[in-house]
Amino acid sequence: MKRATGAALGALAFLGCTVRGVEVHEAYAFAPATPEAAAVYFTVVNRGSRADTLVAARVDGAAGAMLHRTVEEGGTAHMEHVVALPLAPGDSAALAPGRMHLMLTGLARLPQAGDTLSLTLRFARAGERAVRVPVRAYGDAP
Amino acid sequence: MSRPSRAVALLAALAAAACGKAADRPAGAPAASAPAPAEGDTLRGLVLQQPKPKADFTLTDTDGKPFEFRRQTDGYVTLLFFGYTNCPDVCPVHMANLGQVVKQLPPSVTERLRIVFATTDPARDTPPVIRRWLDHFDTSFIGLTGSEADVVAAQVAMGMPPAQREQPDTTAKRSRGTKPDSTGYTVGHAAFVLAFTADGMLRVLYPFGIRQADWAHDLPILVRMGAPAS
Repeated sequence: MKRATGAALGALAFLGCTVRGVEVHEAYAFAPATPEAAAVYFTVVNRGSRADTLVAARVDGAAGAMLHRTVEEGGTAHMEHVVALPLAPGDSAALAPGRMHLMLTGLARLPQAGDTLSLTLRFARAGERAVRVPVRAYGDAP
Repeated sequence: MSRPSRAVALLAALAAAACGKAADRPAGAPAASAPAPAEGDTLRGLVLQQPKPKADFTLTDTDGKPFEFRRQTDGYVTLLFFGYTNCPDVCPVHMANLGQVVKQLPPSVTERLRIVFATTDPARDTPPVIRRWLDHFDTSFIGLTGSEADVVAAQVAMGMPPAQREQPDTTAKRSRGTKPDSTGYTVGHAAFVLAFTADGMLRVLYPFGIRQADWAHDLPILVRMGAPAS
């Protein structure tokens, strides 16, 4: 029983970082056309029983990583900086093109489709989560 | 000069109405308000009830030469997008989708097509910067820049809300308690692509969320319907 539980937890952790309530799924980045600006997308789910907040992000090889929400007003798209992303128990937030993204700036090298980025998300309660982010060519959202 | 402001309101209202809806519509489903083009096939972009003529503005292309927009795109189906290269999300997705689609369309369509990217961030987007960026998507794309005033004038001439420089990162940890990095700004810009038929009329807007399949469907129709009226 103990062994089965351990195996199950191991499998879950391997699949989607499930320790202590916060899960990160479906992470990907578009291979940017400039080292000055790239976008990372993922879905974060709070499966825990207590509220948590995504407070910071960093990516190896990028000078900056900032959460932006794209807002359209009167036909103009603006980016708003999201300082902290609160997640009530059961809440999820999906970063997707045209809605919300993690903007990377100052990349040391231009990531190519097929590369993997190392993303670390920091939550107020759950602490840090390491996320592997596959890079794909720009195009339609999957 | 009352015309641009009226046009701005029109385009803004249309774009707001179109925002997010085109992508959610099932493939092939008609837009609620779009009149069917002559061929009886329904465009997936947002068809303007009142087409507007192509504006006459001159900017600088990526070879550093003057580009007279109306004259040098005359007779072509023309797609015009105002954006900037440091844009992480909306701009490269639009350009990448178009870049993918033009590689799949027959020459009978692409030879009738001009795709023009005009920067809203001329301070950073010099001709070489724009060329390098566009070449990631397709080397045939035309890139334009100019002075801040010229770039604003081009947008106003086309009835667009002019792009504005913004500081979404003033509260970022990097700049907390310090002066924001002057290079760390983003630029608001229209999220839609303007489509002119070959007779020089702006007929369709393509909001963000338009997919490659939608472009592949609509571009041949635009070419067919764009034949100048006899």
